Amino acid sequence: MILAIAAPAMAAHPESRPVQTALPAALNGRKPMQHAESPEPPGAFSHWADLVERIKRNDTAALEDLYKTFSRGVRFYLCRQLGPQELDDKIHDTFLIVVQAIQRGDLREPERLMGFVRTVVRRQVASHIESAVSTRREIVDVDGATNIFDADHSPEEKAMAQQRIGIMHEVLEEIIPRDREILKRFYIQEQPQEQICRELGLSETQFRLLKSRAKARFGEIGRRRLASRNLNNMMRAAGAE
Amino acid sequence: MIKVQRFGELAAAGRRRPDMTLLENGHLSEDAIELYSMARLDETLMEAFEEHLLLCEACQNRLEETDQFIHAYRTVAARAETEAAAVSRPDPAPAQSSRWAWLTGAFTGWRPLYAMGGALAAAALVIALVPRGPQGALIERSIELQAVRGSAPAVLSAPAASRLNLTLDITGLPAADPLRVAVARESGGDEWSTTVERPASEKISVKPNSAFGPGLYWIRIYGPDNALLREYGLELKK
Repeated sequence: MILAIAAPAMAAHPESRPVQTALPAALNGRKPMQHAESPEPPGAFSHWADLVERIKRNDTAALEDLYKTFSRGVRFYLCRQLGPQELDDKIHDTFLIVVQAIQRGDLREPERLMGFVRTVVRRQVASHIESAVSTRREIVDVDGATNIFDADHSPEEKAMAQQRIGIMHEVLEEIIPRDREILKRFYIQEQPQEQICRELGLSETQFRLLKSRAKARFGEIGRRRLASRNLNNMMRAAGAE
Repeated sequence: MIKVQRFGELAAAGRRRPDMTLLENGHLSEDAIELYSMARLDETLMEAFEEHLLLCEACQNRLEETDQFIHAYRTVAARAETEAAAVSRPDPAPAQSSRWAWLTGAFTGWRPLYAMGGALAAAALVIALVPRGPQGALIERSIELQAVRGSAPAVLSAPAASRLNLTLDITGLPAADPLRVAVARESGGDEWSTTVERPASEKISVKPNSAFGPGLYWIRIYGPDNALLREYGLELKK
């Protein structure tokens, strides 16, 4: 897809003419490039201003860098909020909005590129949710407690969800009743940590340790099951040959 | 499945922890990830949290694991609570009302989406008599159910005691034909079902021949081999 954009910032330059912006290959429907290694935690990145300037100059490599830097995070965020349906389209739209805004000169503080991308992503989510809710409001008078319902799990997702529930049963059976009470207060009743510690005579460390142990056990059993399943699959495949 | 976080609609109570550390060793703290997963992270920390999340694969993975853990825990806890309520029943009337109160209370806010898993195991609900209009005719209500992926399931609400005209989104379903649509009680038994030929459009319309009383229902779409293809939740309220 080629964007023809008139960049106001070019007015000060001698070659002031409409700019052709080629989106990176990853956004053109071709197979996305391999995502770069997870960068250093934010704050260590000091080249946002340079990246923004390169994007303004329609540097194709800069567009690739932008995509590589943010695509995984944008995908994660959108999928978590809206699900995998039409995810590639939503990611594509997000990057289009960001690039177009940069090239229009809307990003006045280049060092705030991260915050700008976040804002665009959040608006995308809000827009999709609003659209879905409005559709229902036109049909039925719904009350404020209504949420969006999603029942379209793949068989694999359903099986994995069931497996995690089974694992959780195992984990909870290993935990003494008092510790189960602590977990229930925090995860179900949503009591603040301070309240739970105060009422049950726990230190903050004890409270955190309990949760960590439960989560670690959950992850450990899950990994063991996965390894076992992979081994079974390999053995079946070997037997079939 | 993750709860849909609606911007501007997050609960405000109990979310302030001014002493909480957002970052530890350059990554999001466990406390922050948990609170975010439960939509309880302080608004003042949200921006920094999500900006970090956009870039940090390690923290994305940790959040995903936390989401899965919390969801699995809540599902199991909800089912355990339902089973415990069903077992300890010295007097049917109070237990039924307490169960109903738990179910009713479970439908406020976002908590229901975890209680829902347990709700399926509950016994049959009390079905109220269906009032009729002036000429004895029921009010007809059109309800369109669309599948939007991603978040933890929640339930669409609609008034009870009315004839339902249901339009179901079948986008993305396998090319199965015919389809069977069933309306099942919260406890699982079918109240009504019909078989429809798959239309060219991505929506099917069905009209149950009787009204349903207040309660939680599952609108299910099955393929020819009786495989469950899709399921919607519908709560009918007085």
